[in-house]
Amino acid sequence: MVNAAKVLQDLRASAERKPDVVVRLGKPLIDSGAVLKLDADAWLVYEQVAIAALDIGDDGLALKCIQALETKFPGSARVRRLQGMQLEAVGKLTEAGQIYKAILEEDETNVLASKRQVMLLRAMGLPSEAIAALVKYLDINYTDFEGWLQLADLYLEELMYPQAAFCMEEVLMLQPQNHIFHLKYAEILYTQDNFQLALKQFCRVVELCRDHVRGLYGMKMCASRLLKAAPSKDATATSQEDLEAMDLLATERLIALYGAPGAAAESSKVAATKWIETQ
Amino acid sequence: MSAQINPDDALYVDMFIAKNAQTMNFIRSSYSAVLGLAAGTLGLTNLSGFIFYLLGSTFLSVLIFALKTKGQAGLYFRKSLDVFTEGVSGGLFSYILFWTLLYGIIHVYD
Amino acid sequence: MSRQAMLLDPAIRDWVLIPIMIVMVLVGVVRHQVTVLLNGTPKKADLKSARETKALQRCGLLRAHGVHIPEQAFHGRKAFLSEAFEKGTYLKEPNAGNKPRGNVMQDPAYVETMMDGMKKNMMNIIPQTVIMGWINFFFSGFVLVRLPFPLTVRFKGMLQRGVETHDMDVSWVSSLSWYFLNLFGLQSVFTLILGSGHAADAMRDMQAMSTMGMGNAAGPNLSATGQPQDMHKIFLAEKENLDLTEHEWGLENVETRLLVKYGKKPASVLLDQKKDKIARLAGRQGSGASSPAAVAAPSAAAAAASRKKGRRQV
Repeated sequence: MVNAAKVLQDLRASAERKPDVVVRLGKPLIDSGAVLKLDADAWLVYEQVAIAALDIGDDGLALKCIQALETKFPGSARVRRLQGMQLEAVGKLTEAGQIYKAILEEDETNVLASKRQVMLLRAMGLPSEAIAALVKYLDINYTDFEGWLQLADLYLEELMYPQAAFCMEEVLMLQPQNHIFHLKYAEILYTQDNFQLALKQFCRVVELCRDHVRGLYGMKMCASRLLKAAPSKDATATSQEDLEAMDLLATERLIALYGAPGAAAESSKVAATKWIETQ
Repeated sequence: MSAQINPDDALYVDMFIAKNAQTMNFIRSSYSAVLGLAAGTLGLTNLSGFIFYLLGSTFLSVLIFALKTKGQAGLYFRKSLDVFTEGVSGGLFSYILFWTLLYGIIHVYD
Repeated sequence: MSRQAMLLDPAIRDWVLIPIMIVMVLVGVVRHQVTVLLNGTPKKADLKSARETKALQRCGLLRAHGVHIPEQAFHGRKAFLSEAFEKGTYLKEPNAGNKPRGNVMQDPAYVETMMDGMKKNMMNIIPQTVIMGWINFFFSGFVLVRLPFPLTVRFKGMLQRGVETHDMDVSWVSSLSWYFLNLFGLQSVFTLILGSGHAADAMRDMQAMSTMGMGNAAGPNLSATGQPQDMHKIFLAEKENLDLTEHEWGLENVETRLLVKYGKKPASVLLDQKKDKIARLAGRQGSGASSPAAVAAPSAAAAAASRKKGRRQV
């Protein structure tokens, strides 16, 4: 039991969202009432399990947690936001929206509620309203990189690549050490036909995470595209010699990675080799 | 590793570096208090007391370096040398306090 | 060094030396708890002032982490923020820039922050003055203990505060100095008592504690009793900082770095590049500052730069 509480605490600290694990560990805690022995942490566990239960669709458990929280903290904005999420889960989007709106009327800086509102708009199929709300939110909560990521996704769905690239630049400034974000930015640039910049970003991905396959593929694609195009006279552009070296390096690493015993299924190995040859 | 050439500090996450420095400070200040108690009980005076502190904290640094960072302090701190310097001067005050206290209690009041 | 033999009454140890220490530890713990209690209700920030401070943060981030984004992206943001700061778009009251400020005491937000600051300062000052008063009142002139190491005469004033004896050895410590020794040295005890389990919180508290002795001398922090900050002025200062920031892109030579990492190129290539760059920068600055004969070079560079910009936009 102590271990379960510890695992839940670690999950809370790292902000990982593993609903299956949380429910598996948290449900017995709550059903047996053992959770109350955790003192102040108990209510955090209730909140955590409630969200996880909503994630995996266990409405009964979620309701039980939220009711327990409601009796302990009547009228709390944080609990009301959970109630809103519960309404969202059962499809009562307008009611949920009213709850969020009420929270925001009391406290306009409530981050949780404003975030939910954006997602609600998205769920309702109103992407442009969601974008507008999110832009407004990010103008104030500038440092929320997850918000920027969400905005980038929304823009991508609308095929607005320059805007998405802008969002990813913000994410890069806030979280420069995460190679996944660099990869996403690089792919957006590649889609925009900006191979020069994309190549540099793909290089950065591979630099941050050695032998990152998707980064290597990107490198190879950019390098071969740039080699096929007329050589640029821009002084800042990568030199022809470097491009060839990059192309070679990516090919070599990819073949080595796929060639490693047990690294990939035979069929994907063949497909990869074939692709590399055609490039 | 290209640590010495790569000018890119983004490879280090500020938050984790700060957390590690905090942990080091916690270990150091507790340890130097205990070290001070030992020095006072032994009745060390003058230079020998300070040498004792230096030796003791170097011993701790080596332990952390060898056991906790497994010889790769560069992964946890901006400079590998930080393992040996972080919090050493901060711990000195605690050391002096407890050294003086125990020395006073045991050797000054007879 | 001649050791002065001096016998101290064990009662001093039992009733002064150790009690002072215990009292200081307990006061430290109480202070910690009271601080937690006072900070228990976080102030509700209103949207506009949050936006104001976040804008500053945004500018700072751009200056610090601008290396990670390409040049055009950096310049776009720089231009946007410069303009926004100039116009005061992010100000709480965008049009209040030129209006003379009214009586600040009528601004409830200001009064509240001032009260907060005063409360915190009180928490620093009161316990310390009380303990110092207590020691001064009961134990002034007591010699409590001897340092196990010699010091120069300069320390006499510090260590033997309250004891007016000229030829006593410097290493003897008076009651008030024992207090100061504790003030600085008890950090580790607080770390142990308050820090178990909540290392991060305790460390933050520790920082507050370690400065509490010096904080009084150095004066309270600016926001507590200083003038209300004119955000527009701060924005303008930040804008100047931003204007001075040159963009340096971290990915300029990433290809070479990567090739070096995979051993395709010798590491010396990077060093050569670095030297080249420094030489180029030095050359540019030198030519800019020197005689008119060198004017041709910068203008050519400027022309090249403008051409480059042109191509980018295409």
